[in-house]
Amino acid sequence: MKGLIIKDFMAVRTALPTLSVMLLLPLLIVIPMAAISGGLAVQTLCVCVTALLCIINSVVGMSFGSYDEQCGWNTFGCALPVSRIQTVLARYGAGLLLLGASLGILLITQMVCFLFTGEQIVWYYPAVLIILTLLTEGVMTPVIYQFGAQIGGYIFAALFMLAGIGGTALGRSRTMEMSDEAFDAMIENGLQTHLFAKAAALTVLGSMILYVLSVPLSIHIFKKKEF
Amino acid sequence: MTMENNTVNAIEIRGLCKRYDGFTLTIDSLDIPKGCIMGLVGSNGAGKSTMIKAILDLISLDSGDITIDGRSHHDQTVREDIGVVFDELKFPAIFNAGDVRRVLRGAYKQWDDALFDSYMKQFDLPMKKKLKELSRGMKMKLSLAAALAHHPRLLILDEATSGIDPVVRDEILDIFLAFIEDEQHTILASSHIISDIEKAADYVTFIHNGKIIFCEDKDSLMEEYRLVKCGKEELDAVDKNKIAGIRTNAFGAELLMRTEDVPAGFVNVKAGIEDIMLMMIKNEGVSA
Repeated sequence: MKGLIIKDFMAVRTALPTLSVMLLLPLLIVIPMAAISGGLAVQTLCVCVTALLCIINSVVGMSFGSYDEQCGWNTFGCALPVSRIQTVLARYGAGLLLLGASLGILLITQMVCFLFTGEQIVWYYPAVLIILTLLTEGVMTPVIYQFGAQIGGYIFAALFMLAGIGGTALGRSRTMEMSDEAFDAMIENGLQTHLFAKAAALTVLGSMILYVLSVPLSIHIFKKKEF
Repeated sequence: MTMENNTVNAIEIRGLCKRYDGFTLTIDSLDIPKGCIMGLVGSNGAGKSTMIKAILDLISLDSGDITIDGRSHHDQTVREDIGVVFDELKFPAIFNAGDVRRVLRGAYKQWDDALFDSYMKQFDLPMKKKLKELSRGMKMKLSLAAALAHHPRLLILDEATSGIDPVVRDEILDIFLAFIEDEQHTILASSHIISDIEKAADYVTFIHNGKIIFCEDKDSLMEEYRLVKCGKEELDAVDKNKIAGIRTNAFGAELLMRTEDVPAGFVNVKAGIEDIMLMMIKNEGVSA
């Protein structure tokens, strides 16, 4: 299993320079701004980094499957003394390692911001990162096993757009009639009653459950595959 | 199709059936003895790769059992003892030999870095060059080094020598012969390059349209059949039931016949595996 995880990360390593630039560029732009203007720029930076890490996790997660398909790895991989269950678990393991690394990067970013601006480290960016990564990988891993990386990519793009449009429409419908004061009061109330924290915790839990449930589904799909 | 041998078989297949749309592979019984090179020959689409995939448990069977070294082919531990070489090196093109070593070190319990490195040296392969920069021959030699570096007892090769120049093919055949010096080692190699099989194999299995036409000791097989050249008048005198294959030309015909069936006085020569295979394919329905 260790070999399979190593293989996944080695396969995507050529993308590392591009991914690093993707991450470092906003840092280089926003950190000096944050040092001057404080709060708002720090929040912008954290949103940027969280969003980028979510995208990177999704793209890299899908690339694992894509590289396998390109070189016909699964035919060879299934001839190794590794069970198909272990093969799928290794893929999920690689996804979790990726999530761990991205959480580390996000926390470092927040700590750097804290050191430069004194802006408090907040919990909801890591929570969003965990939720989105687990949801994406939980949905996409069985989809890629079933339909392949290319079709999986299209399905991912469609889901991403639907979620974006749906989320925006829902947000607009709930807040359109609100005055700025009412909106601020709602946010304040949500923070003070820990409503957002509870909702976030529930969402993290839900995405974890979905992620865990997707493991046996992926195993079921992969076990039936012929190479 | 069971061959006479007193040793335990490396591979045993019983009642195998695998159906696809428009193609069915059926093997009633096939034993591959330990300590031999079994050549699997047949035209494209005959079922060679399907048989290999069935042995490696890469496809599900409609029916049948396969045992490798006495264990079910579903048993993943059995694959510790199998080295596999496919027609392509199935690693990402950006990998180098060192990466291949790292991945396989984590996959095989018996992986031997020193042995892999010695093969790399023997095959004169660069450790740091990316796979996409290697020639086909070099990739195949790397595949072979990877397949041998975990001390397998069974080597399975699926069209490993196709598309490779004769010099490299010859080197690979020498490696096969060195591997087989250990009596516990077995090779199953599919190829449509018959000369390779003629040169190295101990046994030959000929598969056509998903069925095994014959599975025999190579030397006995080549003794068993003769190519008989005859004119049109002579052809009329030959018992048609005794013709295993026929190739006609303007002057007469070339017949494939069992040695004992060759009529006295007819000009005949030893038949090669390619002659036997081609004439049997062309003469489907004629009893072999």
